[in-house]
Amino acid sequence: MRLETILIAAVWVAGCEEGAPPELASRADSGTRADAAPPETRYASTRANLRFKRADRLRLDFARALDLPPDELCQELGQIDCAGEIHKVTLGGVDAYATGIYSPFPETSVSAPMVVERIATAGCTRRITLDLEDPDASLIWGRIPVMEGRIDVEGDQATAALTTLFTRALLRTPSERELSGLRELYREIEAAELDGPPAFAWAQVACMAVLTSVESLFY
Amino acid sequence: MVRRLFMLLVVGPAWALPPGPGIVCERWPDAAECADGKPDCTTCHTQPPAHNAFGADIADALLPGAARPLSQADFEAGLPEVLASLADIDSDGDGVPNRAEMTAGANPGNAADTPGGRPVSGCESANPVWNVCGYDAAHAFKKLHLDVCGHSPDYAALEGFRALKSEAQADALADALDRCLDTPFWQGRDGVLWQLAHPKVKPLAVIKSGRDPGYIPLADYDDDYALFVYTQTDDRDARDVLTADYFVVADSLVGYTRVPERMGQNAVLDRRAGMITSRWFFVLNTMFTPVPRAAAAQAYRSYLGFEIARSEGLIEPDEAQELVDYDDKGILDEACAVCHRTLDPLTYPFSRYHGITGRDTGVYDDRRMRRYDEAAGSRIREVPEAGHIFGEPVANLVEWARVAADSEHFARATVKDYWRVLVGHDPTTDEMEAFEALVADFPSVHNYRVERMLHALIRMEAYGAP
Repeated sequence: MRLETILIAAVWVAGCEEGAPPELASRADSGTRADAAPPETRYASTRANLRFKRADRLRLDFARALDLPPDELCQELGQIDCAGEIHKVTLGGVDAYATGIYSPFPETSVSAPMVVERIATAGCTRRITLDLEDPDASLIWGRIPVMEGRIDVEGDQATAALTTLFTRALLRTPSERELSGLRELYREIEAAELDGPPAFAWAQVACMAVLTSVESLFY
Repeated sequence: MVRRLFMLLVVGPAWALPPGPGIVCERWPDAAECADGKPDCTTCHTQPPAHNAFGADIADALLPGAARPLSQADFEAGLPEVLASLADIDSDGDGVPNRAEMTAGANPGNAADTPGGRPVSGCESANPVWNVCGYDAAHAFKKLHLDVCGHSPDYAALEGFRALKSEAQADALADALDRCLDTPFWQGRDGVLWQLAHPKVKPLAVIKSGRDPGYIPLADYDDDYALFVYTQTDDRDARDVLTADYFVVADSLVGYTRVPERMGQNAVLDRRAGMITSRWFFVLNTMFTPVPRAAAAQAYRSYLGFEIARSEGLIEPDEAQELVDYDDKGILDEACAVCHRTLDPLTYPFSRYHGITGRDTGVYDDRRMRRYDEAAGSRIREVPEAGHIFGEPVANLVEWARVAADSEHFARATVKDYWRVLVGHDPTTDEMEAFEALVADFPSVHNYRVERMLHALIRMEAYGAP
């Protein structure tokens, strides 16, 4: 199985369900992959005023969710802050002093989704690495027992990790449907026999899927 | 042709010649803007002469075989039929037909402006997390953290907030706002307030002096940002942005200190008017110009919300005030005079401050016009210092700034700046009542204190309804 298929599946399972009003999400972002799995019930919002977090808020909120210093969240070439500098305008930020972009563009650029995924993936990978380096001080992933790169995704520790991920990123607990979807995702990754430990790949895409959900990116 | 259409379609309150808005009101009398006036230029234009989607549809449908530019008679004859043909068309693609938008007070050429709607009476939210039927305090709590602190609260804080009774939630919301208003994200360098100041200051690194100087250091815009943030925070009068006779130094990440004098700032005490007499302001906007219309237009745009290039805020002095072309720019041509009857009297008070002039940059000099000879205009030395703003006579720029700061336009522009930051867009038709209430309360109830106004804003349904 190709990784991009897994990523799409990951986004599918993490599509908004109970957190932000789904009707809001679909109206603000219709046609995205999050709509691939419409939730069973939709709740109308009369305001429909979801806003993309844009560069500064996205950077700080991802950093808060992953408990990383904002400048360590993502660095291009290991040197340049992704959301704080190089991709700032792409993500709806400004560059007033040098290029005279005093106000954000009304629409984000076509590359914004790729940049968001880039930042989420970098931040998630950094979090997983730190958690594995010091499991006792782990924030999300380090307490899941790993045997030869594999985990018991039905186990309490995996459930606890996913719950922590949701509460930190989306400020709510995951639904059974979401947990079930992410467990199924692990089984697909394990069956795909990718290079590297499936547990690591699963933690990456699960984290990335939650962080790049409509519910996470808009407010 | 474009200019002709502009002439025909654009209108401001002081420009009654173009017949377009009048015809719109004749054919669509139920249009909301026809109740107390006529539709403004944004009905058909983005930035004149460019059309928005509705204006483009009109231009395309108007006597398509006829030669351009159309005569006024042709335009008047053709427009009613075009309006009839476009009534049920949705020009901006927002799902609401043009006439229905006009009736509801929304813009038929702007997809972001729709009639919207309030939560319906009897609405019951089935959403397990948010109350989508009205104000949801927890939603406001999360949202204000993102808007003002720059990040969400943590899960425990949000759950703790949900567990509070409604009165305690109101207190917790206010406390959270106060905490966030003191963060670097809000008032620090490049924070929200700095970003709000960007279009007003219009920084340019290459000519910056002071900290991180550019190649040609002419003035330090950090002073302008510092003054702006200072006037918008704590218990300070926001009008000082236009009337301050002091300076402010940004002395740490979050720390602004008021000082009586500042090296490089050359306006003397009794000639200071906040942001519009800073050295940077004159370097960037006056530059080498004898009659600094760009400076006046920038001040009008930034602090009073009027973009003269879009025919906004055209409020002329009374008819006894003759428009004079002191610098031979051809402004007496009617097409130009439409704006210059407002702009030039607005500009004269700026004319006594030096632009880029070495050590004299930003200095007040009542003899400044004598530096120019006839090459700058046959009557350039006659440019008066006295001018008009909102049709009211003022003797100098300090008076100009006082009239501006005390005006309803200043209150409206200030509140709108923050409405855009917190709500995310200009007030919609549905939100207008709440917006107008904030504008009305800003001078009186909030005593021009931005933070007090923000406390009121976050309690509004427009902010807290998911």
